[in-house]
Amino acid sequence: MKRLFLLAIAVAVLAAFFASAYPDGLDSIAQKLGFSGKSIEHAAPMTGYGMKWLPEGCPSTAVAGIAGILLIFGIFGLIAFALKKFARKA
Amino acid sequence: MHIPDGFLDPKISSGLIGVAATVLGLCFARVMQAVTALSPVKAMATTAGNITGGFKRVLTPAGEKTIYKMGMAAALVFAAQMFNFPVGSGTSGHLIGGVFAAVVLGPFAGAIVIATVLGVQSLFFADGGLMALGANIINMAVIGSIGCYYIYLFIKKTAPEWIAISVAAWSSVVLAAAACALEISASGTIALSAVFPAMIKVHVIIGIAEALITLAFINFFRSMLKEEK
Repeated sequence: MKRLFLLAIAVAVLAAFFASAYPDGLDSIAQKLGFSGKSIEHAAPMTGYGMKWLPEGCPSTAVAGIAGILLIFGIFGLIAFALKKFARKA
Repeated sequence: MHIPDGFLDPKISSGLIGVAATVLGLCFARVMQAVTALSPVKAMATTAGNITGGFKRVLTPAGEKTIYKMGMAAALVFAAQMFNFPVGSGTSGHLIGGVFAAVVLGPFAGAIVIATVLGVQSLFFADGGLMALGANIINMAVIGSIGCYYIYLFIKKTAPEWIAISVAAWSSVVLAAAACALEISASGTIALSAVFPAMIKVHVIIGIAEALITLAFINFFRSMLKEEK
């Protein structure tokens, strides 16, 4: 289990440093066909996969990726904890 | 292909949120059934034995392990989705992970895994809109994970598993892209004749990468779990 956790962290950090900066399939088509201007970005704590208190760049993205992974573990850990605690009547 | 807000008509996006919520509700019910078991509730202890007062649902040890497996798969999919790779003409692609999650966890848990990743991405990273979350979940978790799981099962009957996985994974990208194009054009954002061929063309290529990465991830996930036994 722990190795899968380390793999996820490694993939996120590598992505922060080596991922392609080109827009993805939908974004590039939106730009080419001219409807990308319609997109509305809502407020979020880590928009664009960067930490707001770090200068924009690869390390900031890496930290954001790790934060996302921990968040996801937290969510599933919480689900397991809640199910264990609150067994209910059938 | 995370659809941002602004591309979809509000009626379409809210309708798809409803559909997504319904399907995810069914998935939760199935997963809950799989990870829990009925346990008799001891109501009274007498010298003749215990009198049971009904049953309660408890998380089984195997069920708990399944939830942790779901967390691992979700974390891996999240990380892999960050890793855009170039596919030519100034465009990049990334893994969806629907077939990977479905093959290692089953279609319903797989859909929940993908939906959770999409939810986290939208809420915390503004990757994919909030109103568009229903559409994104339908495209990538319902079509991409549950739907393509059945493609995998179907092909597995007559072909080796790696072919089943590859075709299902490739299909998940292309079908999700097709659905995405249909949703965006139905919203009046762009003509279907323009967006549909464009989306299919680029995602036919991205699907090949999805197939390869999915095979690798499934192998790795299974060998990790085998070592633990």
